[in-house]
Amino acid sequence: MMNLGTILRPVAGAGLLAVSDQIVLGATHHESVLLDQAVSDALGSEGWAVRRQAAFDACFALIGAIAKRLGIEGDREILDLATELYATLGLGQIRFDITATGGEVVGSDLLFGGGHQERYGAKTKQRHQADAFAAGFAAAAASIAYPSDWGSFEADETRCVAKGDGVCLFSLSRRPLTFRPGDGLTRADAEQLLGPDAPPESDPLPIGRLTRDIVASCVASERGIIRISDCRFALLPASYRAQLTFDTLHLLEKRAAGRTPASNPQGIAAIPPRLGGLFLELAREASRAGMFQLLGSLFECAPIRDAFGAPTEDPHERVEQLSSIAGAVGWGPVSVLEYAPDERLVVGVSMTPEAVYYAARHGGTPQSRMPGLQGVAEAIFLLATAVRWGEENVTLELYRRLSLDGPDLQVEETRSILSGDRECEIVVSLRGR
Amino acid sequence: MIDDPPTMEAESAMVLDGLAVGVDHLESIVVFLLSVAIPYATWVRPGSDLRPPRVADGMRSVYVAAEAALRAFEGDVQVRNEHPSVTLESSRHLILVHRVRTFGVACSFAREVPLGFARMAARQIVATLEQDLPYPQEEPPVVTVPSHAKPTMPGAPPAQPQLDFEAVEPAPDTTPPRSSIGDRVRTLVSHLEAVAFDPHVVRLRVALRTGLGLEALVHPDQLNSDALVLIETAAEDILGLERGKLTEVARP
Repeated sequence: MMNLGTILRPVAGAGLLAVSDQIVLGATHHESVLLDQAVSDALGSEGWAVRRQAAFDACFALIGAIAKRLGIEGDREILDLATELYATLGLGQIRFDITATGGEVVGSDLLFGGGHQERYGAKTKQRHQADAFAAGFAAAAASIAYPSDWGSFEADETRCVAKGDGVCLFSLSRRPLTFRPGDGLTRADAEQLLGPDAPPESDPLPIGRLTRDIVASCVASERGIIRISDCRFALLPASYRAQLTFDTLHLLEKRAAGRTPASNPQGIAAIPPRLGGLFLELAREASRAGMFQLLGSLFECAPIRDAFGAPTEDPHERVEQLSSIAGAVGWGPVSVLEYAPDERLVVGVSMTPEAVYYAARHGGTPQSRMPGLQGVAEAIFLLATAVRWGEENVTLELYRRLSLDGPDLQVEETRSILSGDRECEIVVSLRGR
Repeated sequence: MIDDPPTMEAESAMVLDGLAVGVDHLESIVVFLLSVAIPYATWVRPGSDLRPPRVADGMRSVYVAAEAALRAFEGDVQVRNEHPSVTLESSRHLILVHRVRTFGVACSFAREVPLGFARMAARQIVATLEQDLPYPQEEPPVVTVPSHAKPTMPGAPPAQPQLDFEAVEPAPDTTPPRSSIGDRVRTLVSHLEAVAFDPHVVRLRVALRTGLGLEALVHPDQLNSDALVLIETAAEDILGLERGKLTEVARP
């Protein structure tokens, strides 16, 4: 298995990460499972289709770009490439058993289904299938391997470990093509948003550079698993996360606009509830939970301790270092604009995958549209402020305790490149101050 | 001196600052009632001399007239699915007026704004307000007209206070009575917060899964049995339980 550095490249000037021409983001099983869960909460059984479509679009662009760059054309070769890519990215193991008319894909240790088991324990069974991402990936790979102008493949998960099955099983069949797959989220999208007069990208802190090296040196196991401390780590196409978030949000907003009190089956709310806002809160929480584990684990990992010693006791230096680590896993060049320990943190970022996606697909907006970045800022604040470094380790139990009894935070998106500002600015502060 | 008419901003308590953040060239957002020219919520760029009550008065007249004029082309407004918007251009301002149910929304921009950008920004502001503004079935907000606005005669003696023996005494306690459904919902939510894996987001998840919103969980005594079924189902899904299992688990 090759290491991530073999395929991972920086997007020059933007501080983002890419595989081939597609922007990617470092993720853990925590936020992957939690974001999918939030989509299910928001859309119910429709959530599966929205998640699978987002995965299909993102993976069709990713696999297609790599196959084109490497000149791979044969069906078997493309399926082998997809199998290897899936494992290399830390997403688990898949095995294709398909022909041009359809077939099956077997998955094991998948980031979402396996991640659900790992997060909640094998005894907690999910009522619905968990691996929409793998379904979209498999269908995209099959559609590239066996192209047809009549239709593309679609995958249904017929068994899932999150439901208590021993293995994940997908059934692939061809469906009429009702859409044209897009280009995903490319370097060109970031460069276009950056513009020709953008200031040059500043060098990350040494700890940020070392974090990039650590990520680049990650090698997945034979089972397609990468671990950073207790976290499962993977690279996901940034467009998957963003499309999932914003397609769900827009559906909720559209439905709220068309909903009247008379059509409310409960007849109890004069004003339709703001479900879009609730969903964004859960999307932010997903990012906060995952990045708390990932950034914290990287911050106290052995290579960083070897190079920089134990976590610094200076809170200002700590928050700078954590921000630099966040940038190194793909959130963009995160910088600290203001920090008052135990009170307030203001971070800025000139480019972040959510903004690139929203600008490319939906254009500018005056509304708050960066729940992921907000979650990252909250995670940095928590890690810098509420963790007693040297006395306790970053664990899932610590996060749960801080979520219940730790500081009560509020977060605000005060500036955004989507509304014409030069950079995005997120303010995290203690509620009530 | 001419006093501006009263506004309803104190009653509406809507803050529009968030909608205006980062929108270049935007000078003001004035939300007003179409039935009476009173601003409901406003935002004016600091330093601007625009006066929301006058904007509301003028824009209401323009919008009502425009809707009436449009009937000549498209028939009765009642049968149309969407309301028209009005664009006013002068050498200094570009103003876009939209309708949200019983409200008008006037967004004014400095004249140098590109028209397409202004349209997009105004549409996005209106889309947000679509969700935030109340529906007409709600009890109309109370308008407090200042006492000095009443006409008086010079030298007239002050009016004598009058007792109204017909007036009905307000009920001393307006708290809705606790209902059995409300109690059941409270028990379910407490149970979830005690046993769910992520207790800090349980309320959010139930509010979203059921589509009832957070407010319904804060005041569950107003919920009906259909809502209770939704909440029980959501709780079972969150805990990964089979249907009906929660009945045994969460009963006190």
